[in-house]
Amino acid sequence: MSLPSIISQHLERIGAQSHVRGLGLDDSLQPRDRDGLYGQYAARRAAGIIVRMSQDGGKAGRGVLIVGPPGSGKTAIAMGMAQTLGPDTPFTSMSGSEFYSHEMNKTEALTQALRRSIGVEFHEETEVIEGQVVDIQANKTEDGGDVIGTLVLKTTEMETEYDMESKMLEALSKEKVSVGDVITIDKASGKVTRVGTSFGAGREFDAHGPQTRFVPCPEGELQKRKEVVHTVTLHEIDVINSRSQGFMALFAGDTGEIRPEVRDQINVKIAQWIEEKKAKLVPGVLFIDEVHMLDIECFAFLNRALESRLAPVVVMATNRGISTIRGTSHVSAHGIPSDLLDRILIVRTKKPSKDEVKEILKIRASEEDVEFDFDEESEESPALDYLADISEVTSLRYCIQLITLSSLVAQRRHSAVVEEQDIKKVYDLFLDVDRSSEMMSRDFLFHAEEKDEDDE
Amino acid sequence: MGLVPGGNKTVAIRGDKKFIKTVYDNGTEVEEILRQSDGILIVRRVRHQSFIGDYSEWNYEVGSEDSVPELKPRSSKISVPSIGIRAKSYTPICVRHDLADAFEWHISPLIYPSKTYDVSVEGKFIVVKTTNRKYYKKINLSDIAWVGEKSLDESLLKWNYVGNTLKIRYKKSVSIIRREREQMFLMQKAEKEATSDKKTPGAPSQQCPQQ
Repeated sequence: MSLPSIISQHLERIGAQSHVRGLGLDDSLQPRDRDGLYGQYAARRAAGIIVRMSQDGGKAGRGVLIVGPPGSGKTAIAMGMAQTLGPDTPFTSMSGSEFYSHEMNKTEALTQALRRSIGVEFHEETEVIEGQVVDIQANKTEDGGDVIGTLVLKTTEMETEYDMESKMLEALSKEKVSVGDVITIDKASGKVTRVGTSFGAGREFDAHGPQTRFVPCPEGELQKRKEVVHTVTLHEIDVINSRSQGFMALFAGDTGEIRPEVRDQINVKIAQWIEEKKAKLVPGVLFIDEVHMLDIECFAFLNRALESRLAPVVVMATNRGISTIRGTSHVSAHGIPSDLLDRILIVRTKKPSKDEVKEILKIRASEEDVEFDFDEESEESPALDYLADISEVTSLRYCIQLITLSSLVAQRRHSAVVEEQDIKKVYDLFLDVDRSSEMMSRDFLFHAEEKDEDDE
Repeated sequence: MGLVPGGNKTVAIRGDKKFIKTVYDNGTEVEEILRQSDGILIVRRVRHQSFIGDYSEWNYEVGSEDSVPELKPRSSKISVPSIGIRAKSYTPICVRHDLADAFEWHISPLIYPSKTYDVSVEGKFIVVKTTNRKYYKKINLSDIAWVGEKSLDESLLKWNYVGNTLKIRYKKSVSIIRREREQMFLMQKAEKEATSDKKTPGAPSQQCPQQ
């Protein structure tokens, strides 16, 4: 028995980069066409080296800039880096425009992002619930109440039923927990760990993978104190310690600004822990997409922050060439001041070729459960070919949008596969930028270009 | 009564109740509440400070949140964010109630027939078992360690099952009662000294920030 499909559907919504599972590199960092990535070999190798550097630790404050035309896979490479680093290395993904808010000044937002990207690992005895899963049920709520599921856990001696909220259900399905598994739930953080499958679990009809770890059913009480390894980010420590400052905590929550004294104290404490070998620093990666959206103040701050001992690897991405630096009238490469550019390494992604576009479209189509027609003789798909042709004159992102639309059109014809005619239809129905602006110049009343001509 | 040893203690008196807060060097906090009239311990709750400075939830060793109205959180806003899981409301709860001459635990609601239960002494612990393996509890009685007793005495243990409640009673040994009397005496002495210093009889000996 596993969780009903209603939840997994909700969890596995298809995002633009959801098919990326890693950087697709082998052990010697040679790029392969896997993990949902295709092409951009040089950039991927470079990213792989950065990941190695971060995993080695101790080398903080490195900056990398990924530059390339729109749709060439900059964000996909960053996602791949996050996946390769694994769940225990902090990876923060932000967009350049996220640093502007009324609640918080820019440098505070940047500091928080940087501190979110550095982890501290330590051993600690904490209260956990440890047991074998007897039953998991997800209930639909009609009234929007809190309780949405039931979990039954047992040890060799006892059994307890729990009410679950959506947060816990999601955590369980993320860990792929099913009946018969032995799990621990950290009572402080709510973190779910799947220890293995119980020996006693009678699942005769289920096939077990080679990775299945068999463990005995826990003994004694369900709640116990146990030593666990925690990784928390510096930002989380900041929040906890500014919260326990008494009733002021009500006003300064997660979103507010954190006082610099609190951070100073924490930095001293952490240095002490590391000295005493009680904790280990896990430098992570901060990814800033659309970095040209930052202004001169942010760049100046970032410059200084990269010099600090507690700095993560900062990966930035931009699609701008020579452009003005925000907040100034100066022009610089990629819209980034030259003193910061000096400090960082630049990785380039190239505009994908027609064959590469085809492969990328294929990956996206299978991610979206769309099948293209297939010609036995030429071993080619005419529909895919046509779509790749469209991408030559439009853009890759536009073509990715057409995949799902064309499959909906194909469904209307009761066809399981997408053919050329479906793509032609959606290509006519939905305009790309070029065709749209061309139409504007013809039909619209007050078109800027036309007006210019009239003036002359 | 039988207070935790050591630590940094702060006492406050309100009405018939005496609040004693003990803070240890490692950040662990213990709050104990005594009834002034008979010196019985109504509540003892413990919380630990985690490595990174976070506090765990209060863990009730004696009594429960419902024992004293002051313990109810005043505003729901202050409560710790939920982790998304909690035991069903009909899960049995074990609550310790102290008497003058014995420790008593009430476990309820337990809905299985009376022959299901087995209560025994295993070293330092009182262990509650069920033959249908639905409920299990290992009760730690730290009071005995404070008087230097290594293990519990089976002959002092009595239990019965009435009205969906399992009642377990462990008679206080002579040394435990002696320790409690000594503590009571010392505390009354300290209180007298504190009040005579201030020359304001009846005022609280010290301010307790929490209560």
